[in-house]
Amino acid sequence: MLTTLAKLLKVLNSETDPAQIGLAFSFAMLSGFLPFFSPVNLIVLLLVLLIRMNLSAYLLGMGFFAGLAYLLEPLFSRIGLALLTATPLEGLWTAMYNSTIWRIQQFNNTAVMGGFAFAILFFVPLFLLSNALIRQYREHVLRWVRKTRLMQMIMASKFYGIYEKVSGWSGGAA
Amino acid sequence: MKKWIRWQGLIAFVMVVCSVVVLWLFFLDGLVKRMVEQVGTSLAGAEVDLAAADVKLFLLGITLNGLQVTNPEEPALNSLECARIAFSLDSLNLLRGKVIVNEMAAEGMRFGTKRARPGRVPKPPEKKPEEKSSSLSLSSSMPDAKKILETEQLDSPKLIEAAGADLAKGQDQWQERMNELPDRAAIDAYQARIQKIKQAKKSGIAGLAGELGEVRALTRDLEQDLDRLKKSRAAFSADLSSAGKLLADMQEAPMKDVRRLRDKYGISSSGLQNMSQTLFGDSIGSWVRTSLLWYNRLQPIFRSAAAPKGDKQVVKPLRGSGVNVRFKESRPLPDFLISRTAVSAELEAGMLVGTIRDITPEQQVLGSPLTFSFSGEKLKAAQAMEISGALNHVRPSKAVDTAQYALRGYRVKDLSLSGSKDLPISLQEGKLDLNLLARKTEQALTGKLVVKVMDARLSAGSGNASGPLASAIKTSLSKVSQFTLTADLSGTPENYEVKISSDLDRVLKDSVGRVVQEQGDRLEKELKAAVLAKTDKQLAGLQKNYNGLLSMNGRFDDVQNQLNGLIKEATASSGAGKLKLRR
Repeated sequence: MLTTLAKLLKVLNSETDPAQIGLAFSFAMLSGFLPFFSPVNLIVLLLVLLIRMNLSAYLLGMGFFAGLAYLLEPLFSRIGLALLTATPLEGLWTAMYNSTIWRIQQFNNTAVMGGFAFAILFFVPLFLLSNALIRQYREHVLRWVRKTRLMQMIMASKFYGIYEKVSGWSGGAA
Repeated sequence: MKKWIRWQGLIAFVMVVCSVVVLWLFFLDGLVKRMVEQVGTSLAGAEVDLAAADVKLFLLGITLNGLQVTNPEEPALNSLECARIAFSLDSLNLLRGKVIVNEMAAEGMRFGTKRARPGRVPKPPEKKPEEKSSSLSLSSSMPDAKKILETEQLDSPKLIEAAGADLAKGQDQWQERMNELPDRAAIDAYQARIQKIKQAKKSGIAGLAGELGEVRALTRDLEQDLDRLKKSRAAFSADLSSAGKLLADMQEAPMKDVRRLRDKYGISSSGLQNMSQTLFGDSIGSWVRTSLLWYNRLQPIFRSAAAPKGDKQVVKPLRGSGVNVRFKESRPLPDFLISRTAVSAELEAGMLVGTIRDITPEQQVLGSPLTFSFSGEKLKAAQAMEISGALNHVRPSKAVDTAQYALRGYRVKDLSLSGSKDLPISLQEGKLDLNLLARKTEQALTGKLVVKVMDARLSAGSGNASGPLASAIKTSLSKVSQFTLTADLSGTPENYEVKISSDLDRVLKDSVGRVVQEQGDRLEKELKAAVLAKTDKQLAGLQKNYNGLLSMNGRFDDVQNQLNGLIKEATASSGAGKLKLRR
C-alpha cells in the first residue's frame, strides 16, 4: 500500500507527461464505471497496457472510480434505461441485441449502458481537467508543499525512504 | 506514434489474461459446486449439498454428482437425492448470456432418504394453518361433565339471578300498591256510614231524604274504590302472567345450557354422516399442503418476474446490478432453457422413468409449456404407474397447470391412512388403484382423487382413543375388505377445501351410531345433574318470589268481595231499591 502510494506520488512529481497521467485517469474512469468482469474492461486493459500511460494512476483511479460507481449506480441505471428504451435507438439496439459480439458486452444491462455512456461523455473532459490540474500542481503547489513543516517531517519518515527508493524505478510511464 | 505504443504491454496483457484463465479453470469446479449449493438452497429453502461438480470445457459439459436437497420440514431427511446430473451447454448461446441445455440426464433420483447430518434450514417453513376441528371426537371417552363445567360458563345461573331480582322488585312494588287498596279501617268506615244511613231510614221519610245525599256519596266512593281495585287487578294479572312466563323460561334455562354443552362436547349426528372426512381428512389435507408447498418453491423454474415496458421487456437479473432490457430477437430463446430432461427415479414401487420438456421461466418467449411424462418400469409392487402433466404459463395471465397420476394394482403394506393421535389408521395390506386429476389456475384449484382398495386389511392402531367409540370403529374397520375413497379438492390456491367421501361412511355409521347415541345420552344426563345442582337453589328462590306474588291475588279477591258486599248493603239500606246503584 505504502509502495503504491509512494509510486503515485512519484508519478505525480516525476517528469512524466501530464497527458499520460490524465489519459490513465480517463481509462480508469471507464473501467471503474463498468462491472469489473465486463468484457469491455478486457479491451480497456489491453489499451492501458499497450498505450504508454501511467499504470499506477490507472490502478489507483480505477479503485476510486469503482467506489464512485457504487454510489452512482442508481443514476447509471436510469441513464441506461432511458437510452435503451429510447424509441429512435430501438433499431440500433435490436440489431446489436441479435449480434453475439455485442451481446457478450452486456450492453442491454442498464447499469453497464449507463456507466459506459457516462464514462464516454466525461472521458475527454476528465482527460483535459486532470492534465491541467497536474500542471498546476507541479508549477504552484509542489514547491510550496516541500517547504511546509509537515512535508519536512514526512521527508524524514520511513515512508519517504520508500518513496525515494521507488524514485529510482522507471516509473511505469516512459 | 511509436512514442505512444509499448509493445511489451501486449505480452503483459497476454500474461494477465492467461493467469486469470488458468486460475479460473483451476477453481471452476469448486465455483460451480458452490453456485449450485447456494442457488439450490435459496430455491429449496433448505440446505442443498453437492458431492462434486465436474466441468468439461470441450463441448462445455457439466456433471453434478451426489446432489442432496434437505427436507425443510424434516431436516434429518432429504426430500430429494440425485446420484448424477449431466448436461452440456450451448456455448454460443452462453456467450450471449443464455443458458441453453438441449439434453439433460438426471439419474438415480430417490426421495425421503436419510442424511448423514441434519441439513440447515435458513428459513423455517411457515407454520401449518390451524386445522378445522372435526365434528367427531375420537377421544377415549366422553369428557367429564364436572370438568366441562369447570371451564365452561353457564348462562342459566346469571339469567335466573336476574329474573329473581326482577320478581323481587315486582313483588315489592305490588306490596306498596296493595297498601293503597282499602284496608280494614276503610271498610269499617264504610260500614259505619251504612249504619248511619240505616238509622236515618228508621227515623222516617224526613230522615231518609236527609241521608239520600249521603247514600249517593257512599256509593260513589265505593264504586271509585272498586274501579281502582279492578284496574290494579288487571295490571297485576298481566304482571303475574309475565312472571309466570319468566319462571317457566328460567326453569327451562338450565336445560338450554345442557343441550348447548352436549352439542359442543358430544358427538353430533353430522359427524357421523362423514366419518371418512374425520378419519382421513387430515392426512389428505397434509398431502395437498405439501404438494402446494413444493409447487410454490419450484415456481421460479417455470415462472418469470418479467415486466413488459412498451414493446421491450425489462427483466431483473437474479444477481448483479441494473436490469436487462430485452429486444426482439430474430430467433427468440429464453435466457434459461432445458429442452429435454431424462429422469430416472427409484421409488418404493419400482423404477420410474420419464422426461420433462421445456423447463424455462420464460414460457412466453419459448411459446411452449413445460410438460412431463413418467411411467413405471420393472415395477416390483404395482402393475402400472403413469404420471403426466403440463405447467402452461405461455400466457401468464391465463396460466393453467394440470397433473394426472394413475396407479394400477399397487400392492401396499403398512400405509398410514390417518395419522390421528386419537386413532391412527393404517392399511396393513391391500391392492389399490389410484387416479388423481388436479388443475390449478390463478383463481381456482380443483382436483379429484379416487382410490379403490381391494383385499384390504385395515388396522386401527393403539392411539389415545380407547373407549367404546374407538372400539366400535376398530371392529368395523377390521371387517372391511374393500372400499373406495374419493377426495374432491376445490377452492382457490390460498383457500381450498378437501371433501372426502367413502363407502366406509355407511359401514362406520351403522356400527358407531348406537355407541354415539348412548354416550350422548349419558353426557346429557350427567350435564343435567351437574347444571341443576348449580341452579336448583336459585330456582327455588325464584319459585318462592313467584308464589309471593301469586298470594297477592287472594288479597285482591278479599277486598273486591268486601267492596261488592258494601255496595250491596248500601243499596239495600237506601230503601227498597228505589235508588239504582251500579255494581
